[in-house]
Amino acid sequence: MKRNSKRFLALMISVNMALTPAIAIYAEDTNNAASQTEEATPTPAPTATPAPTATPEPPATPEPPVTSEPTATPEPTATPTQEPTATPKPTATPTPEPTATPKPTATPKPSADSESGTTASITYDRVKFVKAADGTEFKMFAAAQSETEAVIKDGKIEITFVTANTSYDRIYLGKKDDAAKSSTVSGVKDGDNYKFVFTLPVSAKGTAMNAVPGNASKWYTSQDLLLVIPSTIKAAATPTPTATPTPEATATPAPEATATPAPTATPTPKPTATSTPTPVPEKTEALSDGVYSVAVSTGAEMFKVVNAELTSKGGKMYAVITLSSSGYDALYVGTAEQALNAADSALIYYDSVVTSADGKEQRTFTVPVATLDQPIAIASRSQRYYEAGDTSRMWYNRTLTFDSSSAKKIADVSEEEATPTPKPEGTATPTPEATPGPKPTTAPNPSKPGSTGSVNSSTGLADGVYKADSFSWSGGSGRLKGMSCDKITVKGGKASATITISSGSYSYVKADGRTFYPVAQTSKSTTFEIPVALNANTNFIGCTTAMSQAHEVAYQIYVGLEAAKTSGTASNTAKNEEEKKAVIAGTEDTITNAVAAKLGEVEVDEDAPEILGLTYQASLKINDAEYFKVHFYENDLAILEIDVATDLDREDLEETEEESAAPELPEEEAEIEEEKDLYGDESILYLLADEEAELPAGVEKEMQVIRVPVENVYVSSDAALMVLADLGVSEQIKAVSTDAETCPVEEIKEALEKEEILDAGSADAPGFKALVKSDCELAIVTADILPHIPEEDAEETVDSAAMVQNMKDLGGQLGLLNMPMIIDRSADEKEELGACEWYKVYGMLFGCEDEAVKFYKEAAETEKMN
Amino acid sequence: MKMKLRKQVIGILLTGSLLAGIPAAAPMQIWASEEAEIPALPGLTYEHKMDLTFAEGFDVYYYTDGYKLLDIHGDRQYLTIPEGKEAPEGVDDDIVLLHQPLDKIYLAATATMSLFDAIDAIDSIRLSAVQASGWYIEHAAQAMEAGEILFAGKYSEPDYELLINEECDLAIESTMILHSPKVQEMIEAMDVPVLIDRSSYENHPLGRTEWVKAYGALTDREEIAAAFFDEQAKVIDKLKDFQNTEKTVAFFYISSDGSVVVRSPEDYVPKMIEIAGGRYIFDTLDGEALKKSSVNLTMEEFYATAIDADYLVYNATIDDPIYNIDDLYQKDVLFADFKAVQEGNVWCAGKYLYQATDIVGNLITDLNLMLTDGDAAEMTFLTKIE
Repeated sequence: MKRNSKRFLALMISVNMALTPAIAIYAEDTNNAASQTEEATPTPAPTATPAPTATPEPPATPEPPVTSEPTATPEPTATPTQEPTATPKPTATPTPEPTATPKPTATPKPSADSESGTTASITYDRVKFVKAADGTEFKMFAAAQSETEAVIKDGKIEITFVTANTSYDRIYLGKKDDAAKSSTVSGVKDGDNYKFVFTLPVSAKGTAMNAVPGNASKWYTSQDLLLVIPSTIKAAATPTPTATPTPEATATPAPEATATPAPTATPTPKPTATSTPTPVPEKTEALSDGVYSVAVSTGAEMFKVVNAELTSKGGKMYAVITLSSSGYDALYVGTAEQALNAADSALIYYDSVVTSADGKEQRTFTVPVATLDQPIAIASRSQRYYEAGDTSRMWYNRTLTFDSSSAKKIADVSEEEATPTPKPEGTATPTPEATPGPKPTTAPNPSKPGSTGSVNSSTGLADGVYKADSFSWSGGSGRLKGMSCDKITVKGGKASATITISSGSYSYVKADGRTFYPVAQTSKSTTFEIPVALNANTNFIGCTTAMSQAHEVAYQIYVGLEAAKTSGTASNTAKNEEEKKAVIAGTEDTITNAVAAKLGEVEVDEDAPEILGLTYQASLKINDAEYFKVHFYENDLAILEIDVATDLDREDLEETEEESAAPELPEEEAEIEEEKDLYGDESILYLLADEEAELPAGVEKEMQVIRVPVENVYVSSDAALMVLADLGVSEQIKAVSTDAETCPVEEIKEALEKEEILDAGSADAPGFKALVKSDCELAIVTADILPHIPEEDAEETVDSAAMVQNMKDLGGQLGLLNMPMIIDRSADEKEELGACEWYKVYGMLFGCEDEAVKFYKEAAETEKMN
Repeated sequence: MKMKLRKQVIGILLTGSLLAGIPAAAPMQIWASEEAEIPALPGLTYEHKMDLTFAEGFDVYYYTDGYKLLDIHGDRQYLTIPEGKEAPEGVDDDIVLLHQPLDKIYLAATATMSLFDAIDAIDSIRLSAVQASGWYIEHAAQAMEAGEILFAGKYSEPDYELLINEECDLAIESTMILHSPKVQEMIEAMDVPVLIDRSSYENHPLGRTEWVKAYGALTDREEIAAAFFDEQAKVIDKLKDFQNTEKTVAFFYISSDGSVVVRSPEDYVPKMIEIAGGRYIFDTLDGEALKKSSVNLTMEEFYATAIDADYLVYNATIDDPIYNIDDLYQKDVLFADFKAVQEGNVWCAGKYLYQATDIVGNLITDLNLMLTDGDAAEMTFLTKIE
């Protein structure tokens, strides 16, 4: 909230000062440690800024308010927006400052209004609007006496004016004739009333000033009205929190209206870790039901709320706040001391991690909001100090102040919307039934440690203990040897899996938004039980202390149990299933697979790969090609199988696997898992899936995964270049291994010359830097890298072992850059048509199956005719 | 010259006394012989060598015009080329060229950050292998939060694109990279030189800290590095004549499976205990123990030896700290039998020693204070457990 000293200046200049003191109230309000007495002078400033006292009161008081002299118009502190409070919250002040929202403290009630209606007298007994003409209360804006009050607070008078009259929602402290009524006090609806809260300097005590009520359409200008400030005002009963003294200068502009510009407040020093008293959670008026974006101030640089969404329902409020720093892992509603001794269940852990626009990690927390516009005591836990066991530094006192004036409604709350139970101060919430919070993280992204989304562990199975039919897993830092599922337990319709990790360093795991401790542990293994979604992926996070530091690692598991499969678990969600049917050759049966449907007939292949979590349907009927196969699985998945052994010199496949010697081990224990050599078998498997398809956890350990259609590809096979040109997808080629001179395809040649495509070197000597720059997601390399059986009269010898190793090395290197490697064996095909059949492979990869099939059919026709 | 000589003599004497105090055991790393030849560089004249007291894993040779050669023993040599200058012609292909200023470093060796912090060179680092929340070092965390240092993927999965886009000029890796040689190759394929920090192989605790001078050389902050190191090494100086108290110390933690993890006798923590004037009670362990820094014992094995230890120091860098004696009993009631418990000499080491390579010397001071009933308020890492 910026302060407008310029505006104030303008206002002051436009005002004629006369009898009543014209006092500027400054924008940068600050705390004042001194307790206020009734007679507090307006200038308690400790700094040297001399605060001119107000012009003496007495002349102002008894004078009949009907003066033609325009009285001075003090500037209210409120900015002309819907701000219910007039005292602004300084962002620099770390100590909590209660805003001017009044508490129903006992205020001295003046005796009965002794309005006499005489023109000469105004009784300064209470806050009220009177007609300037006769001093009687202006009935159309009458004060609700029991709620209207004036108290001394922080060296100023805080006025709370409540009226049952709801025609006016704002007050301008000035003359009705003022053209620009720029600074007004806004009111908020308070039940059946309107409430206005603002501050005036103490010198305004016992005075009457011009005031004009108004609303969005008009101001009341039928007659002059005065706002009366009583002459006796008590100090507010609430203690002000200790704060650093700041200068508070009030300037009295001379009658000639030379205004002193508002000095800005001296920034207060940062708070030390002293405990702030927990303010009594007074209930200020909550916002009406709904979801609002709201500004939250904390006053601390390292603890900033960059986003807050507050939900109010039935008078109760909670907010999901995003902290700018990801260094905190827990909050506690209360003080740091209390937090240190609180049970773990009473802590508020962060619910999710979000990435800011500039790539920073930020965490969100769900906190109860007991009160608006007042600082809520909260303690924050620094994750690294916590992990270091530094009890003196891990908890830090903070405050959150939710600024109701900034609240913008963004949604309604539906009746059914479950109000999550953010933990109230100090009480333990029952964990198992706790709702996971208003913003559960989406499950399929295991790469964001710290938070886990809810797990749908419901199952129709009867209670009991089961053995998993299949289990696979993925994730982690690649250092884990293995994981197994010991059993599945179903209780009350919910399934949980007992998982053993082959590492003794795990201290806990998180799943389904909760923390689970090991049920068994040895120096080599950790066993725990977590809720699991059967026949689907479940995410969990493990906290390991290997490598000398506790840190969290995300994993994904897939627990398969046939008995739990309900019909249609693997159902296709295609709009038009008819379009996705492929006929099984020689029969009238069909399978439903979008890819198969485009490519042609299928047939059942008994040797098709069996993959955990994938249900086999049929394979592509191949006519002439010998070196590839395509297998189809439910959910429109396909596996491309490329033979890299037949008709090649692959002696290495006959040898037994040798253990490679581990390099010298550094201090930390290494638990390296033996990775499967994805390029080490007789054929290489590639799982083709579209962007959104969810794959069973761990499948990437069994084979290459290619998301189709591929957008950026590196091609180092001339044959493939030509096919892609034919299919019209040359645009997807971002890097090649030919240079502009020898390129067989004209358009690629041009692109090379224009440097739209990068020369990324050949398979023998790839330019990895260029590949990274080209952002390719797939590499298509020539089959020349494989050792072909030499002709009988060939002179050159082929070092097949070395070539195979090079091929694997290349695959590994491309893998580091997240590029699967397709070995294009179309040129190896003995039959012309066999080579043409490879069009289908590229059709699948680039989403142009129809084109591919067209080419193939034409080639087949031509062949027939010959 | 006098000071240098004196320090060297002290160093030799101390090393000698240390070796005498430590039972014969094979050292963990054999360094290149001290008589290594001064590398000749074409067109450059050698001027002098960096003064080192405890570190044995590297040397820095200074040549004319500001060229320096950082020789990491058993590994590579790195030639720093001053800003605006060129690499000398005919330099051996094996020598890695580093063009100064090195201000876009990718730091994947967490122990090194504290050294950069100590010489005020954190602004030379642009990329980190650890997220902001993972840094115990305040300045590093702040720099990351301010966006001055970006997360570029952990050491085994660096973000190559970011390395290229940020024009990373040096990747400092820990020995963990030796597990992933392909990653190192790929980083180098991006034209980013790789330097493996081998400070963890130093036998002497201050030897680890002295690597600050290597990084000081790379960033032209030798003076700050030397001053910092001297400050840390003061503790050695102070204790050089200290008569060993002969009091025994056990340094351990209890892992969640109930086994007791102690440091191997060749590890640098027992060395620190010796320097501080105590005796590490597990001075003989099985042969296998010598290869690793920590050893798992059963409670019985631990009990048998440590029951008589004068001091118990709980290592909270891995496990949660203990706050009071009850926490210790929670782990095992047998602790009541221990001499150290009965005499009230139980302590807890509570900070991340592995990220605090720079103030490792403070642990020596702490231990010395502990052994001599000094003022606990002056300790950095240790707290007494009541």
